[in-house]
Amino acid sequence: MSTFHLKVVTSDRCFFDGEAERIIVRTTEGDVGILPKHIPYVAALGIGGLTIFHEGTSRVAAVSGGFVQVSAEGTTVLARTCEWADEIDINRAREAAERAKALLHQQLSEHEHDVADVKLKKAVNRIRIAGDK
Amino acid sequence: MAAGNMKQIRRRIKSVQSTMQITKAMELVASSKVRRAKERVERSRPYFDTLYDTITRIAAANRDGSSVYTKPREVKKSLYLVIAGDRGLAGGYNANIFKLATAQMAGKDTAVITIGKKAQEHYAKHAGSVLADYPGIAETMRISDTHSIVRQFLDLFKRGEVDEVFLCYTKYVSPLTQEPRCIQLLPLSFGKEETDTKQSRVLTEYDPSPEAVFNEIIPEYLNGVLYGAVVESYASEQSARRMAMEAASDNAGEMIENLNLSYNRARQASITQEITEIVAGAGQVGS
Repeated sequence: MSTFHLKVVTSDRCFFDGEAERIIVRTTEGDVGILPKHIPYVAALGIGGLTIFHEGTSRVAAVSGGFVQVSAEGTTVLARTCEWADEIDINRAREAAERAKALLHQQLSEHEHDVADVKLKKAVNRIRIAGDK
Repeated sequence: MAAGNMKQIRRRIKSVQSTMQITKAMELVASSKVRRAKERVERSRPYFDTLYDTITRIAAANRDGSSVYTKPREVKKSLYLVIAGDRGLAGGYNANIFKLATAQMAGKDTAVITIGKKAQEHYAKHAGSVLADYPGIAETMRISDTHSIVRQFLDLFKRGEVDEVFLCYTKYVSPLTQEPRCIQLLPLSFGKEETDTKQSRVLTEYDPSPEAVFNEIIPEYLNGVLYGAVVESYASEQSARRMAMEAASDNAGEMIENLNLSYNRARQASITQEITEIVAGAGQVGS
């Protein structure tokens, strides 16, 4: 099976570096699947999952922010935060979701509201990904 | 007289010894911090290399685009972000970055955002408007800490209150050399030679559009650059401190050696003098 080189980096570590058969990643426009020999492509990432298929298995990670870039040399996913499904502390994510929800019920400035909203989305995403495995 | 001299020297030796203890301890602390800071720099580098690489490619494809981030404007007010240390005793580290910043700012109408306690103290004493201070964040810096800083200057830039943004930081080149640098953050400018490479001419698909992707990625890029600069500066600070303290310990050691020598000389001189006196006295008694 043909593969392509995939690199996933975050600000504090190199998350994945190797050959992949296929990935599915959530961009701001929706889920996008990338196969080998994809045309050059750049998109910003939303809050969602990243599924990597390699060596016959698949692994799921929770991703928020950043971008994906496909070029002839390979594919790079540059994420603000990224963690494997089995690394997620689901209790912490649930607590974060509760906190964000409670915050959203209060009177907030527009910016504070946005921040809480994003926090809630991130937490929900992590809970979903962690439950998916 | 000799005895008084000896006492004085002994006191000097004691005081230099206790100073040496402090500098030695600081050296050890700094060298363990340097190691951690260096690891952090190395871990973050792939991220910034990728970030920079992508942004230059997109900038090349978006050359004619009139994105607010790239369009040069008439400069009325310049904003400088100055990253310095939280503590002193780091050799020329703090002084060097301020010297560079002052040279860069000369003749401009400037505003400053400071990162680090030393920068805060430095600019509080100088005339000029300090917009914000962020002391004591470098050691435990996480990328999420940069968001509020980036948003602040991005807002100012978008509202037109500042027309260009510069970042002064210290690049960690090697344990022996740290280089103060000043880079332009906004409006974005990339060297021509970098954007004219072959790769940039490959037709790339942007989802949903180059402008939208550009506007998403720029804040990401600024966060990344700021984080990188803080991490590099912190490593430089620790490295500079380690070097300064190493030199101080060496000097103290040398000083103690010299003082010991003069102490022994003084001691010998006083003994010789005593003997001379005794011999002279005995001679008188015997005659």
